[in-house]
Amino acid sequence: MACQQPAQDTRPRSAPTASATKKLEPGKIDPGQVDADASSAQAPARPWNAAQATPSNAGTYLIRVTPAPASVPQGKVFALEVWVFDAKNPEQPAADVRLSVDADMPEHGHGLPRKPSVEQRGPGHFVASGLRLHMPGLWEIYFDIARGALTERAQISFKLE
Amino acid sequence: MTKRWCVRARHTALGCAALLFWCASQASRAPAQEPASTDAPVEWSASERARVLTLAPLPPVPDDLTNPVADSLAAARLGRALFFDAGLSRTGTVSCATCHDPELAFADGRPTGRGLADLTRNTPSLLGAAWQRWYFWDGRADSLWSQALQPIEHPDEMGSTRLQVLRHVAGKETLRAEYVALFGPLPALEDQARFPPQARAVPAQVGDAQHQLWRDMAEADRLAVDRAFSNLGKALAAYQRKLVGGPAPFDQFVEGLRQGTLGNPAPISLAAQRGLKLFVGKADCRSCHNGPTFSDGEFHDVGLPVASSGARRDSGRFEGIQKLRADPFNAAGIFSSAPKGERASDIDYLDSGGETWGLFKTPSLRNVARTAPYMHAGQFLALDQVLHFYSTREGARPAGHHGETVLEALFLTPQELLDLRAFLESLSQPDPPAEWCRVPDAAGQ
Repeated sequence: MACQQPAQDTRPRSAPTASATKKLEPGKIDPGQVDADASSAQAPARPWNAAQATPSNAGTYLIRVTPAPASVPQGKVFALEVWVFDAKNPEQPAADVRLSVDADMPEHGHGLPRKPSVEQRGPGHFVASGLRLHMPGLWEIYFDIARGALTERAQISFKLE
Repeated sequence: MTKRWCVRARHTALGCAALLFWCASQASRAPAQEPASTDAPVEWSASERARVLTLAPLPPVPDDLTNPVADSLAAARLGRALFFDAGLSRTGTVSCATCHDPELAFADGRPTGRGLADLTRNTPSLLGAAWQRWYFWDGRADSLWSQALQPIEHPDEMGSTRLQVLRHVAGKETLRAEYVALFGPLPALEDQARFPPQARAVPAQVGDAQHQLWRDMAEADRLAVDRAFSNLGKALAAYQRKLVGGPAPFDQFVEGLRQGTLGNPAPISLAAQRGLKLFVGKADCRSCHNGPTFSDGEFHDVGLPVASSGARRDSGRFEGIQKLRADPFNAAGIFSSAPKGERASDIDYLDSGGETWGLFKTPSLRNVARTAPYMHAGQFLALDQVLHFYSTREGARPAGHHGETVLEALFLTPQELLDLRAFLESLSQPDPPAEWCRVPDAAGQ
């Protein structure tokens, strides 16, 4: 049966997401899945749509990060924009969390030569600045999400060529 | 325009001696491990090729927004005159070129430098200095111009003071005229009540007579002196930005590889090509020595052996960061023309914790075959000793709290070591144009 075109589509067109081309590892949540939800049509623009989605290590949170750290060229100073959600509510950034960001090269016994600074831009919305991946090799980027006295880590690992 | 190059090959007596010894020791072992053929063409996989292409060409000299005269030809000429002028030193016997000798690839061929007294670190070459992110082995300067100021006042290097240096410039007609044309009038140095003959800021040396004289000056006068002193550094930096060599054989090889026009023979030998393959592959040298400068621009502890004397260990980057932050001439300071720029903001992000203790800057490998001895304290006299250290890790300290744990013995064969050396030799560039390699003539050209 042929697709029916809606007579009149007044829904705001959201920006295309990277979900069509991005390879997500097993267990990671594709932000495109959220986009496919019809209820989102009425929601305001969600700037995190194109961001890489990663669950925290114990599953409490979901973070969305842009640009994808693995896409950043070696040796360039860059910033990451991060949104933190409760895994149970991936539509609304979590209001009561704090974030710190760091990175490590587990094969080398060291991490970044600089301490990134993290600035909060809104509820659950952060920008980590001053990162520079100075060497090729295996990198682990750590997102430590704190709520009250409890901290849980989300981690993005990749090999930088 | 045809450029004249002041090419000069160099071998230190010590380097040759070490090399001969090494070659002799290898000769007895070589036949057993010699590969069946050393004239087979070198094949490049897609990933090897991609890695090699990241190593050349060198991009244009990067901007230095902290220095408004960085690319001024007039400033480079003034900087050249200052560079070769021993009148900048306390005794009138030491110039920048004493340690950064154009005949020795702008280094000194010594394990550690010697100005007015013996120094503790190896003198780096100035060739390609403009591409560096940090200066000195500990990175305590964040621009070429702020770097250039420190040896002038260091008691063991040139031992002078900023007041003495400005008086020297004011008293030499050509220098004064060039300075005034670039930067405007010098401070009113003739007023000795306001400007003593000698004075410098050495806050770390409480009770130092010249520091006391400095503190007794009016704040506005100190500021005027510091600004003029920083201007001299900026002229010296403009000169050092001219110290750029021509393309190395390796650069020509990469261009051929990129274009598919390698030719026969290729610009570098088969041995050098095999060495390059090791460099980006099994030996993984490119882990730290990456990009067209062959340096990640950061600081590492490669586990060099400690001196058996038990001498105090060099803290390297740990103190370097503290000195950088305290330096009024850093990129965020009032003498920088980009105090809010990227170089300035980098200072805030530096990690100055204990894990930076004993780290030293990854040196560029361009011209490495011309700049023996090696490592931050000249621990190795010849390139073969460096390769031997990385191949065997003989004498290396175990990776402790902040060491590079990725460094493991490679057990390279004698042929592989020769290949790596041949590759490193292919990174030697022709010298900069001759006009930048010598003392200017009477006309200042």
